[in-house]
Amino acid sequence: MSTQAPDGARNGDPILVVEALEKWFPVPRSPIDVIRRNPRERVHAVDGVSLQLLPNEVLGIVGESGSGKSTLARCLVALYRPNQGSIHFDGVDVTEATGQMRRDLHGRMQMIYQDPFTSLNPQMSIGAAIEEAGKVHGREGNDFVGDLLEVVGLPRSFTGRRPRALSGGQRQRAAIARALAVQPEVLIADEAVSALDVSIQAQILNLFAQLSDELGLAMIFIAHDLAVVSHVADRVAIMYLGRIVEEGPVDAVFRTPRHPYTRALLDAHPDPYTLGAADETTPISGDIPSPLDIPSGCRFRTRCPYATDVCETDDPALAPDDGPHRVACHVLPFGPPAEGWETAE
Amino acid sequence: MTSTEGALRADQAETSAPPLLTIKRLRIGFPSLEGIVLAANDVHLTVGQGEVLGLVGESGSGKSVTCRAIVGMVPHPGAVLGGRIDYDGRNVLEFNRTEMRELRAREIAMIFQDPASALNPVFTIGHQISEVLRLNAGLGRAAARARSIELLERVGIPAPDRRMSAFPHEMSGGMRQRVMIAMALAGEPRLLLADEPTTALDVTIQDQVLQLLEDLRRERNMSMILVSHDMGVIGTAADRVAVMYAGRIVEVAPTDVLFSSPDHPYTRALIDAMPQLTPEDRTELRTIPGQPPDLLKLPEGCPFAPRCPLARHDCAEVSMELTAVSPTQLSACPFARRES
Amino acid sequence: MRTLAWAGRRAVGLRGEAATLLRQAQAERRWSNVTLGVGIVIVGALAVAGFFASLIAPFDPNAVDLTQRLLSPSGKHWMGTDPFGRDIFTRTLYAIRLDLVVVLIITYVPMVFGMIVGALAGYFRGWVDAITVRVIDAFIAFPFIVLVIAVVAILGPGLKGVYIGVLAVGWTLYARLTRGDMLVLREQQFILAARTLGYSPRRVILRHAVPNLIRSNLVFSMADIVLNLLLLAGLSYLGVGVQAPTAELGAMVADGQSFLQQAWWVTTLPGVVIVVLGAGFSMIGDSLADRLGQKFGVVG
Repeated sequence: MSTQAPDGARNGDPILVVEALEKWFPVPRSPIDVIRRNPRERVHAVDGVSLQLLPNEVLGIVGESGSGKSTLARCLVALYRPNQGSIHFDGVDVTEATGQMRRDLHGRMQMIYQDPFTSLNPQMSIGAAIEEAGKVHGREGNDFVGDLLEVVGLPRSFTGRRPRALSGGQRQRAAIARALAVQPEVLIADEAVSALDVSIQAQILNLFAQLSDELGLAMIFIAHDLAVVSHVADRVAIMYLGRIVEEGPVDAVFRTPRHPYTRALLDAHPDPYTLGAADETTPISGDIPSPLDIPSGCRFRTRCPYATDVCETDDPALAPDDGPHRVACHVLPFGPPAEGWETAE
Repeated sequence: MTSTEGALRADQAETSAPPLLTIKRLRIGFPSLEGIVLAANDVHLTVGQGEVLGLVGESGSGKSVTCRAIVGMVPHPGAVLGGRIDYDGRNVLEFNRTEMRELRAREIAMIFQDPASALNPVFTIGHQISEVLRLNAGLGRAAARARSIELLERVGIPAPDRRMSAFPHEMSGGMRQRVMIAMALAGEPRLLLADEPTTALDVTIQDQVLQLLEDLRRERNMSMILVSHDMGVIGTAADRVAVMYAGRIVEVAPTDVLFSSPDHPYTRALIDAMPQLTPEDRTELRTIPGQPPDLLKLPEGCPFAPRCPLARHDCAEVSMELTAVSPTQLSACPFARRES
Repeated sequence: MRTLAWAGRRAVGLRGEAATLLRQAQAERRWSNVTLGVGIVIVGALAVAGFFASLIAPFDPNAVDLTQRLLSPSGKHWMGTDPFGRDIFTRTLYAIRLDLVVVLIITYVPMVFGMIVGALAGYFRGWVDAITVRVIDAFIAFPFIVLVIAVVAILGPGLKGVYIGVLAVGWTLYARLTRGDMLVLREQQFILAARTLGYSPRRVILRHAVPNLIRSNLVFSMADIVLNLLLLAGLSYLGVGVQAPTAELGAMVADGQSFLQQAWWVTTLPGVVIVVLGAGFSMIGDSLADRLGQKFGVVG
């Protein structure tokens, strides 16, 4: 079942292959709905996502609220059971596994959460939390606790401290150390720096980059902030309403975006250094549609200034555009990069 | 004292008209069991007519509290302990209840970070805007309704007459923030306090709301204080920026000057720590070492000294007075210029 | 210590208003300390007296001496004697011991049981939760005391009936409280994190969730203790609780009520002890609730 990665130039087979993944949530029905026999409604949070992750690769996933990026992450670590599609981890179908086997498989994929103030148990010292994580997955002794604290840049003396005595950045480091205690092969960071102050955010971003370099961890880095993703990711996928609309190497996607939505995101990103230039483009209008009521055809067409008739009827597939750079758009208003992305600027 | 007065004058020199708002030596304290936490410590600020002042800082820097003190809304149990806030020539700290209400109704409006909790969930949008208009502008029922629709239209709400009967939960975050802005505009304020107005919004929606605020400011010559932790937002939306750290203003400068030649080491560090969208090379981000300050255990002198790359032995004796680097730029660090 | 000294120095340097703010915060805390202290002294003193009843008490609690009937309080009989000539002071000491033990049991056994049920329901949701909620609702819909009396009536009067009756009903309040907390807690990121770390549900609930649920249950139990004290006394007063001749405060109140005109002390003095004991528990409960409530807070 292992599929060759489209950009097979990188080392080896993908460690994680997600195919046509769907996750929906039923909308609670009121008694009136039942009496009127209103159809059961579903929120399609993830609606057909396929992606691959190579060992030692950092994949960034960017999207706004309702894009399904967090639901996708929770499907990967088995907090949610997907309704459709498959997740193959190292050749094994994760969604089929049950009980202890499922827990073991997911021990190899670890998640870092957004809020360092709630992701650690307030009643446990951080040393105990790290030790427990290691022990559950069969590590002996507790020498590894101090080593891990050092890996994430905390002094060994922090072992006995409660989360309350730590600052936000220190807690996020502790949470990372706890995830590493399981010796995972894939780290999934869900908005892991967005609750932190700028000065601390930079420290944690550097730590993630260092972990991927030094430990060779594969990583999925989920964020709403493009600049943050741009700093750690090798490849990036842009999500909109449960789908990936554009995917490719970070430089290609951010410097020569092909999808109108990616372009809009980049334009909207407040960057004091592109002052003036940013004001020339008109911001895209309207709100993100509700995932209860996804537009027909291309789901971005309701906000897209380039939408045509075909966008209303046909759902565009994520098609290779320029080698590893793939995009789901009928119109492609920005034209292919003439000589590759380097000269397109 | 004299150096600050001189600096304040220098600060005002760029605009010929007297500033709309002047804050001097503002101190705001919160009692805790371990002592008084000074959330704002000798804060000096001016806001000119039609100017957008960006107030930037990390959590706990005192930016929000300072902003709320202007309308007498320092959260309990905090209190203003000293200084003055002159709005249009009168010290608002000496206002009685009626005067303060009058000020909030007609002169200064405020919008908040979380538009979901700033609107009352049990009343329609129309009801809530009309209420403001009837109470503060003395309009009748019909006139208030008509004006409400006008305001909703102005802030970019599609089909405003139909939206009047919508409840807050039926609207998206961006739409609710637009409604909040419409309500703020109802009293025709001359000063708008925007406390992290786009922090809870998605990037594309944030862009729309910032654009709306900019348009409104131009069209009404309204002044604005924009509080944000996001240097990017401040950089795109503010004319002039004040940087706060641990309750102190450490630097004030026009936006382009601040980003091109920051003076205070903290400002520099903050700018360097910002991840870039398309960086030249993806090397390590420059970070600020250490942890955010504990307001109860601040060092003597400059509070940034323990994390400062330029720190020296006499940082403990720094007075933290703002002094002029150039006619428009003030900084609290006496050493940075000499170093560079 | 150092921060306190520093804070004092700093407060002196500030203007009057700042010092006032600081004083207010400290005064609130001090008042809470005083209440807690007084509560602990009351409950502690009564508990010590009760538990050493056999050493302190001058008489046998159940020794009937009809020649000594209804004697008023004196140097020999500090609280007088009852209609059977038993020393009321002695009986009160023994009654305090019995009441404290029974009240702790009928408060904390249901608490532990309710917490487990509530935690499981909140964690697993689905049909486990649906059934639990229905059962809880059914119990809560009836007046508490009527249900307990019904259980006692079926099992026959006596402590066994009280234990089973209160356990059967009392757990529901704790289960409901815990279930609500658990629903919030299970979405907390450290619980999600524990699940993604591959921990078994047992470990997630017992090691990670329960320690965070105990606090609100303890706060609630402090109020519950007072109610249970009154419930036990009330049941015994009605004759369905502790049976004669065992000394129990509520039963002692009942013993004297037909002699209220001639011998006020028989009813009044045990009654006062109930009130004082209840007040002591309330004071401890209130100030603990202030304290724990502030940090009630994985959630808040």
